[in-house]
Amino acid sequence: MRGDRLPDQDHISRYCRPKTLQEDGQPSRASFMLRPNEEFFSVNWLEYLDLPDRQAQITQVRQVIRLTLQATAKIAVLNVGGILDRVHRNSDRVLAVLHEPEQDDPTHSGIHGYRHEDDLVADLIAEEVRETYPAKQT
Amino acid sequence: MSLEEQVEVLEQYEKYLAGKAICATGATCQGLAKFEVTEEEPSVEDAKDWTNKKIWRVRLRRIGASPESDVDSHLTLEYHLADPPFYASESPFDVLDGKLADEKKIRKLINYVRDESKIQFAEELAARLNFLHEVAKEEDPDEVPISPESLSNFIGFLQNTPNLRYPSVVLTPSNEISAQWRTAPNRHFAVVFLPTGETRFVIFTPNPGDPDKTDRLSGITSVDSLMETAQPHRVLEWASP
Repeated sequence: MRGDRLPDQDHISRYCRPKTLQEDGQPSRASFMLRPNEEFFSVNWLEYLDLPDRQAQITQVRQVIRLTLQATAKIAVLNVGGILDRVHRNSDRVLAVLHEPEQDDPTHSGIHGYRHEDDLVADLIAEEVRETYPAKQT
Repeated sequence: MSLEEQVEVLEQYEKYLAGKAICATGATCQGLAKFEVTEEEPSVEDAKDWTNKKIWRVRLRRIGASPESDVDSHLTLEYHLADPPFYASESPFDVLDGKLADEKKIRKLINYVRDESKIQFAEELAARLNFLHEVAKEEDPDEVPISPESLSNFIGFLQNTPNLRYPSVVLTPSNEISAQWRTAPNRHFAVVFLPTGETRFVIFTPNPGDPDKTDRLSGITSVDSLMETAQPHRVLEWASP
């Protein structure tokens, strides 16, 4: 249901644009920065898909992302509880990851509680990246 | 030309722009005076100190005014490269002109880094900026791929701070330059160069009293004061070669 908190043990993914990737191809702080007019940071809730493994989840996420996937872009996977804990321990922000389902993307969720100029939070989120996958199937 | 006369010509030009906008809606506009505008930018090549104010010459020439007479005027404006354009316009052609001008500025700045700057890692940095420029254009052809003002402030910072090693450079969602010097989770110095001449910085550094703990701080300061603000937190211990 819209507004539900995602369980701490679950995972989210984020499409990381090439211009935000470091030279080694890993997501940077900029991959987790908001645009000035964004209310929350859009992500996809992987466990919502109820698929057997990560590869299957990522394959499904590639289909629901409403962007033209660039060849060198990446999909980063992060743990919900890990983000909340790291940001809470190391900044004055308290984040929440909430379900924000959309008609064509029921996995759509959002990280709430920070703004586009909160670079410290973006740095902390970037440190929580667990896995990365090519945005385009190879 | 006196300052008052300069202001008057400027006001007339603004009225002309407003009149032109009204004419575009179908009103009758006979006798509307026209202006020719030419601008001379300060050349990037001549810019020794990027933080100094630059002189822009704007020449307004009113033509076809009633009674028929041409009025020559000459204005000299001073402002930072980072300042917004002198006047705004909403014509699609003007928007296109603006994009082409931004594109030209970005190219000029990257070429300046590669060919003329005294930055130690100039070639590597220019290649990285070219890459970011290309991927940002590919991602959204309708946006300015890199904020020229942000890029200019970043280059100016590197020119004035020669004791830094090559940073990790990326673009923010607003296409500003974000540079990072990081060797460990507790040795992290990251900066966003804003078009306004300010910077947003983040520092993770060992606590001076208990090196096992990490101090995390962030703030906003002008690009000119960035190192003065950051160095007490010993960022050069890991950000310099």
